[in-house]
Amino acid sequence: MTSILKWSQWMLSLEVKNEKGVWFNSLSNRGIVGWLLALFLSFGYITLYFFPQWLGLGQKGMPNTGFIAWFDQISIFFNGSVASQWFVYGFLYTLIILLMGIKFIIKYKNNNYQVIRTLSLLFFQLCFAFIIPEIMASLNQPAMDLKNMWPLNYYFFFDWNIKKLLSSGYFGLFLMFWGLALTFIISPVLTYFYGKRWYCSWVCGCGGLAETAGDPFRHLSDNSETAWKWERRIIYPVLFIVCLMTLAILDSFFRKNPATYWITFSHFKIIILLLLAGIIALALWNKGWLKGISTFGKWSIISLGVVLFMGIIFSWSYNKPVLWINALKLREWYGFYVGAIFSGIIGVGFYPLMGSRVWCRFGCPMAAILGIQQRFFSRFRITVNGGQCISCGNCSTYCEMGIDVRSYAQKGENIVRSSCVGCGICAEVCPRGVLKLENGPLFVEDGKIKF
Amino acid sequence: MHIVIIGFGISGVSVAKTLREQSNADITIVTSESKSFFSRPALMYVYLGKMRFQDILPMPSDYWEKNNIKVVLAAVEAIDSDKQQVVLDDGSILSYDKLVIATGSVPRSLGLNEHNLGGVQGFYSLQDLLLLQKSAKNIRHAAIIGGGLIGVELAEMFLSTGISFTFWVREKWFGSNFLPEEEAQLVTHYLKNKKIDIRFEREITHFDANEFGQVTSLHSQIGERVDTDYVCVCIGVKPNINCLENTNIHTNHGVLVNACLQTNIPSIYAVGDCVEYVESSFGRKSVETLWYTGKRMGDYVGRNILLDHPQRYHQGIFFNSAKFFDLEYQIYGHVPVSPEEIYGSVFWKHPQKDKSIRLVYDTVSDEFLGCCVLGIRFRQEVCEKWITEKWKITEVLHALPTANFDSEFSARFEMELLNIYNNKII
Repeated sequence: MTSILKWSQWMLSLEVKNEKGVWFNSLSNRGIVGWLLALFLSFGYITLYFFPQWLGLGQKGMPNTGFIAWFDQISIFFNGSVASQWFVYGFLYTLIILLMGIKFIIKYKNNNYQVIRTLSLLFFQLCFAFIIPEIMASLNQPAMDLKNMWPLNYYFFFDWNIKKLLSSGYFGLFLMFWGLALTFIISPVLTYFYGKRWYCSWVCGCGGLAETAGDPFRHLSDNSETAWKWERRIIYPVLFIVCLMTLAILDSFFRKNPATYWITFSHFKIIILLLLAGIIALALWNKGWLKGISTFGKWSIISLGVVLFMGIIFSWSYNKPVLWINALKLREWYGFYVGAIFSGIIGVGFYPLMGSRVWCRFGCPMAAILGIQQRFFSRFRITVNGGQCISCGNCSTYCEMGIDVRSYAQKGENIVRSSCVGCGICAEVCPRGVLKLENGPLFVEDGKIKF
Repeated sequence: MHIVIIGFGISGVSVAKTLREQSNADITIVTSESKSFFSRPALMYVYLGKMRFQDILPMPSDYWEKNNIKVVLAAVEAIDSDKQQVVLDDGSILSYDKLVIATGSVPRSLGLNEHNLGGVQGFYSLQDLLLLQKSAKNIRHAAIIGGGLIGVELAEMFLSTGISFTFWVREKWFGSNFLPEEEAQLVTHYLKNKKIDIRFEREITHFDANEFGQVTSLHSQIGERVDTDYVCVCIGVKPNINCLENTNIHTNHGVLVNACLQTNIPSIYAVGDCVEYVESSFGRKSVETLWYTGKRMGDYVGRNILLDHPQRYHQGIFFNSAKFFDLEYQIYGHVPVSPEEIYGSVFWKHPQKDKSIRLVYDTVSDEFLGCCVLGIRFRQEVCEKWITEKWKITEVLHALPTANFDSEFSARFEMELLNIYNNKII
């Protein structure tokens, strides 16, 4: 405990030195200390994921030793068994969010939005991600992070998860419905009213780490147009692949159990085709809501949708796996490259090199879906106070999502961007108080948003 | 059609940007400072290490080439308005059809020949920043002279790098030449809490220098002598009209312009800090050395310079904003230094925190005239609407919540203001 206290004191003193001049500090300007930290974090992840025995994880029923064994007593306290590598990971992750979260709150203590938002992140990480699943496990129930939803939680629709939930009585059934409601009802409604920030910078665990431990690195996010281009080139394909994977796994699940559940294989087929037809129709309609999509974007969505639609019908009519996808292979591939390497090793390990939101910005399929909703079906926007921008660039520099906020602010344009997670730091660092996060009702007058 | 713009600050750039949106005319910008357009108010953040120089460039560096705007790095030697030519110090000659003077301003001098001394500078240009960065590590004790915004910026910069300094201010309170007394006291109190050695009601009488011409100490009018090896003079700015000396362009304090921002020579315009706008509306200065004024003038000239029948320039409702360390300040409309003398004023100050709101109104007509806030943000559109539509003070007090622009979950103080007004009326 004393070592934790000392460590947090050290972190605080670091912040005080760090506050002026992030570009003068070797830790935060991609200097030697930053690179060393990046290497340390990346190798830490690789070891924990793939070589836990190096950290002392007991192999084949042997007791834990070394680093992992330190956490045995804590693990036994929470769930009755010795520490696994994932318990150690979850414990350290939560601890870092708590410590760095307190530091963040002290730093922004004069801004209620930052304080309340960070308290929310700490609460969801501590209770929803850490304590509640441990309690569930200790009661021999399926352990689930109640705030982690598909598609970030990409295994929600995996056959083993569905089977586990459906075989755990009413509690499992509740979890099943909760997960579905979260993705398809709760999330769209909240995103309509508050923007994607309700999840990305108030609730999400990845966001929790980025907002707290990642705060000293936020200015390292590249805000060039090129970076924005790559962002779109990567994040939407990841979303596409996660959808394909889920489709393929559900397909093989229903193929094996065509009529075991109240949703049968033929129900499933109809639902999928209707969903796809709906997306094509929405893109074809392309009025009002979807005005911002370019003609190229619109036609690529439509043609991709039609190709998929035809492909799905063909594969099913030949009684083959949907789109001839090898569900197991794809799942393995996604779990390794996206789940472990992208979201873990690059997502966190690269904080000191590419900023705190590498995964959220370039990879997270959840952020992609919420972003589409935020861009087209949400009240959330950042408003600009008249002509008061002095083009200083603090907003763009400190945007962790690499949005060039200044390019909008100096024109007096409101900022409505799919990637904005609503952290509110642009408004905080603005020396003229020009920016404000808002989600009040919109009044549109001559094509411009008025109040 | 060739338009030459002298000056690469916000005013000149606004002319070029707006003009390019309207026409394909040839545009050349002449500057002697830097080939990159940077945000001048952001220079301090480069010193603080909060941003790099490339971060304070408002436009991508390829903007100029992409938009076919030529940027020439040279100083202007002479303007020949008969031949419509500008002579540059590299010997080249630019012929123009229309010329825009956007030369900005230069720091005022104390009149003590201080700029002949080593270790004395202003903080205005990119060159000033580079000089300060170079000198910083050798400074033992610095002096900041002048109680304005730049002075506070310098204080923040020196504090962050651990340079000891004395802050010399002529006024009784910090900012009492542009803030009402209560606000000036609030800011003064705030600065004193930063443990700054700030000395009020001081005028510098002379400097001492060593045999190398380096400043060693300074003297104030009350007989103090303080050892100082580095002096930043920031007692305000004045229009930069040096390059117009031998021309027939009319100047007074600044370049004199008409209601279309034209000088006495119709093909020559002037915008920004260097302008003296004699048609200035009530309560406004004829020389307004502000970013926002420069931007507005630049946009106006960019839109109108090619028109045969240009519209008149409208100053709009006055507004300005600033930041003293972390204390934000905004002003809208007309808020004189002693508002109580001629107008009515509703003033509220937070009992503990550094926050205040002041609304100024005409006691005869009850019309709302303006407001200024410290530590609180107001919405510009709303304040401008109240002033242009001549709302009554009571209407404004009831609509006050719509003006708030603070971040979500911030404490609100509209009721306090209403109570103060009601008590005043009784």
